[in-house]
Amino acid sequence: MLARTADNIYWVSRYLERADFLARLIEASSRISALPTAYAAKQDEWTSVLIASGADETFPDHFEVANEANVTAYLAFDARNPSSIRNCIQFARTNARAVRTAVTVEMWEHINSAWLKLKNFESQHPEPTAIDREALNGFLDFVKETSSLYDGHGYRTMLRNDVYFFARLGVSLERADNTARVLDVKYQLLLPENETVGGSVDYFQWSTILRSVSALTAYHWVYRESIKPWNVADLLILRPEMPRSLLSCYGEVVRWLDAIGNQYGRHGAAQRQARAIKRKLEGASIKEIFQSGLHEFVDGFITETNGLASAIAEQYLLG
Amino acid sequence: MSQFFDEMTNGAAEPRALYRRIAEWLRSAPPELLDARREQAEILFRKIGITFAVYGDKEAAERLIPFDIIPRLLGRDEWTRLEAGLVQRVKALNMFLTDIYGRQEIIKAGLIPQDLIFRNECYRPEMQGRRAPHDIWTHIAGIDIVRIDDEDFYVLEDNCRTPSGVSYMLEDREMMMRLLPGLFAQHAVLPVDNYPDNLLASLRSAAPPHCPGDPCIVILTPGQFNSAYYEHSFLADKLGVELVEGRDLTVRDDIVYMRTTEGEKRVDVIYRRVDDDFLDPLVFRPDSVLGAAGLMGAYLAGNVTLANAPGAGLADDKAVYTYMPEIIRFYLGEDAKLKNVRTWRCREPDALKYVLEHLSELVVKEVNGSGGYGMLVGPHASKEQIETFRQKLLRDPDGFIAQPTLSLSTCPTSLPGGVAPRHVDLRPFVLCGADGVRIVPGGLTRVALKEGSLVVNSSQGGGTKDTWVLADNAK
Amino acid sequence: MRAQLTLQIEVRFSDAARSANQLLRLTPRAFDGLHVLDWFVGVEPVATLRRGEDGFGNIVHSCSHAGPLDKILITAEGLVETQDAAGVTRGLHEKQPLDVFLRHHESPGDIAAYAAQALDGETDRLTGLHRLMAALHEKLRFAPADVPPRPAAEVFAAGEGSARELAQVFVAAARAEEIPARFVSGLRLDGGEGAPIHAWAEAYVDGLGWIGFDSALGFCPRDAHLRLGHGVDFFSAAPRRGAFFGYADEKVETRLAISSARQASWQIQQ
Repeated sequence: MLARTADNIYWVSRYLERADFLARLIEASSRISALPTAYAAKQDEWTSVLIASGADETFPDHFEVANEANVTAYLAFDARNPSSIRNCIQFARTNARAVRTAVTVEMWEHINSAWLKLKNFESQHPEPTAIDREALNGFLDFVKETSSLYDGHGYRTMLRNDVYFFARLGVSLERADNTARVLDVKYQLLLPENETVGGSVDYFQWSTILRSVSALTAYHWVYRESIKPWNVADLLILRPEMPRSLLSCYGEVVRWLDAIGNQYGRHGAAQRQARAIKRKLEGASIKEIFQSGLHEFVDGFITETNGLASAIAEQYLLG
Repeated sequence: MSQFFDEMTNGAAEPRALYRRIAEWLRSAPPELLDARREQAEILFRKIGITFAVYGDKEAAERLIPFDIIPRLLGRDEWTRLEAGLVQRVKALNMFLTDIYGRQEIIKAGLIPQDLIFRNECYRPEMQGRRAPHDIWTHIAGIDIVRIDDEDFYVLEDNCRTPSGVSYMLEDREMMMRLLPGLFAQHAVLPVDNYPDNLLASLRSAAPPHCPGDPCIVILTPGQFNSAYYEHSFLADKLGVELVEGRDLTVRDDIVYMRTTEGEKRVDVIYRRVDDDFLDPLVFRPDSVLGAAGLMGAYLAGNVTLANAPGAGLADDKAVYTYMPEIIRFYLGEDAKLKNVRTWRCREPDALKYVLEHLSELVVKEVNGSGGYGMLVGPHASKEQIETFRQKLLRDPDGFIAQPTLSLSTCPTSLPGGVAPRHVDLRPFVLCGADGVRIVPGGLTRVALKEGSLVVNSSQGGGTKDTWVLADNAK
Repeated sequence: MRAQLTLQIEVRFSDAARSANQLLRLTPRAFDGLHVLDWFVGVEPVATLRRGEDGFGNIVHSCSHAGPLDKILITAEGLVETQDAAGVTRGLHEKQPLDVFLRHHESPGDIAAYAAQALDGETDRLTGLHRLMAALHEKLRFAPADVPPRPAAEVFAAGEGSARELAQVFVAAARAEEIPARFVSGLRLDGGEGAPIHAWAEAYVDGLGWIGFDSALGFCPRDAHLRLGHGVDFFSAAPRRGAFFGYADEKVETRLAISSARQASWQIQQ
């Protein structure tokens, strides 16, 4: 397979996974900011959303206030934000079009029509900051559906060869990165001292974190008790059965990298690094993580994941 | 009574025998059916993403070429005549290119003025003294054909560089079989779907002579923002070959490789859809990123075949076109089977004088223009447009040729208001391999959707039709 | 004159390049005014240099390097003997007909009108070309530089340019007057000021053949110009064309050293 084809296919997955994450993040945050002030400290909510989405640096170039309308418009619809949802869909489509022959007809038609719908939505809503909640919810549902269907079409129609492996690799790696970003922004809410502070304010913050990685229901199934911060951290970092946990994502990353290595008959730096990160997660306990510092742990993880992404690019995608 | 040859009626009350079933169907089909099928076709085309980009049109960066659901018919006898003419013409084109970049006999014989060739931008000095592998320069040619009566075929233009449109020929056929299976079944239509196999076989046969085993073939595209990108990816898919961009290729010691996830892989044949100018920044435009540095070195060393060969564009130059009857006679000793449209070469003073006096009746074309840009259709032009062209002609007569406004034939076409005749042309695709010439029966019929318009180019609002070559004769 | 010379082109990449390809026109072809006694082209890191001939008959070498690559050093050296042939380039194998050198490669802009005026109806082509060279030498300041040339019309409007830019202006002016003209790249053996790689133009005069005109210096090449190659424009005659793959900038430095050259005859005449 052409190195560029692998690169494109991998990025289609990453962009669509990112779009899905952003949609969930916006949803969860609008929910918390709709609560009466007594239930949630919301002044910083939208700033932390900007940080979690990585848009905090460019946002001030275009807006003065980080309020709901502005942040939502910037994250969801703004063409000037390189990783806005609309750009993610557009880039995903551009990447898919560049490798039109590597994706199946179903996948291509789906992403092409999603792009056409996006265009249509934009022509109906020319002013992003003026989009009402109802239209926004409709849009976010459409985004989540787009990602799920693309995944589903891939699952049902693709040959299980390197093309498929690179597509899956993109999803897993992007997911790991997104979960880590949420943890990085909200880690102070999960620190043990918050337990004593307690109260409803933090409860809603915790549930927001869970919602942003669609883990609220899962939480209850796994722990069968009310939301506790260390459980939230445990679920998002170490639970193998939770599909967006760091460990689960790395299980997938290793799996797909190994599949690629096996097909080509050669394993390299990318496989080695991925396995090392996975081993580290497997060997960790939530207690130790809190003892040695949650923030440091997540920071280190993000750095290592970036390093892995470069190794993958070097080994396969640049050719 | 129309002054044009209508391919269905030929001006009579009763349709030509060939079109009998089509005429019946048009009489009996309710108008809503045609409308419904037309809309269905558009939805399907948009969904699979068959679009083309129009240069200089930001708003509609990706547009659909309108598809007309009424097929255009040719009888087997008509096709046989046309096919023989195409084979003859493409043979002559290849011999002409071999000669120009070789011994230049035709110039020595005084049949073509030297300056017409060597002052031409399409002549590539880099290719002088070189031979194309197997002496094939134009592996894929698109010859634009028009009819003005039920006898002769006229060549409007030869396309020897990177002719596009073949994906429409194939997709239009798919669409017809999907939308009007009954009508299709009533006719014995000769198939075109083996075109990709033919193309692959031709490219394979054109591999460098010493290439071992199964040659590695790729299609080189300028990328997804090119107007014909859909076609490039379509062909790569149908041929089962990689669609590469310049940045996927690397040349080391005169051998071309593509970068894959498993390292570098040697490439033997490149069906390139990138213009000469952009092929190699070391030889042609230094700022080009669409080709690969060193590609020409690899080509000249005989390690890779480029289809079509660099420099082949010389043969489809509109000024060279006017000499085609002489070119065919010179190399093949035969008369041209396909007619040339009468052409005035504005470089000749008498012709220029005539053209300037008859601008309002003639079609004036830029010698190096393509795609319907930079062209004057006298009878449809405003006074100002004519005046602008008069000035252009006076400034640079060598740059233009003129032709009579042809009475292009018409075919029934389904439009929002009903069925009406519209002007059409035909682009059959001729494949040249080391093992002979291949042509599938059919081609791309382009139709000018605007009433009275003679410009069929997609960039100028033209549409396409499926072309049915029937097993029955027209006469 | 007899000259022993060494030309070095050093290409440095700001960040390691993944691969690089070069096409070199650094080997002079002998003609009546030039005898090449000894010549060598080399490249470091060592790579296979393949020798060939381009469409104009110039000798070219090409080579490829696999990365990572910090720099490439190209060396051309040898011993040559030049003779003053009053600028006439005779005895070269000409591969292209004159018409190729009449093609307008770029829009001449104001140069066309200027050329017509400079020639002022002069019927003797040789006299006319000398007049054109003198006029351009007068009008355009010679500002040596070793970068790709700007479009001729732009150089003409700016009023100054490098040797290669001035040569392209001369070529455009001659072609605007329907005189076949071509671009020549080469070296100066007199150690005169300016970029090591020089350029001038040649125009065709019936009966005499191709004659060099150096409007940067204001005279026809004699024995202190070493001719490396010609083409329709700078790019088709460029001494080096290179391309590399990677995210980096390239910096090129060119050095020319000349030894054991006798006093150039033109210096005595001046």
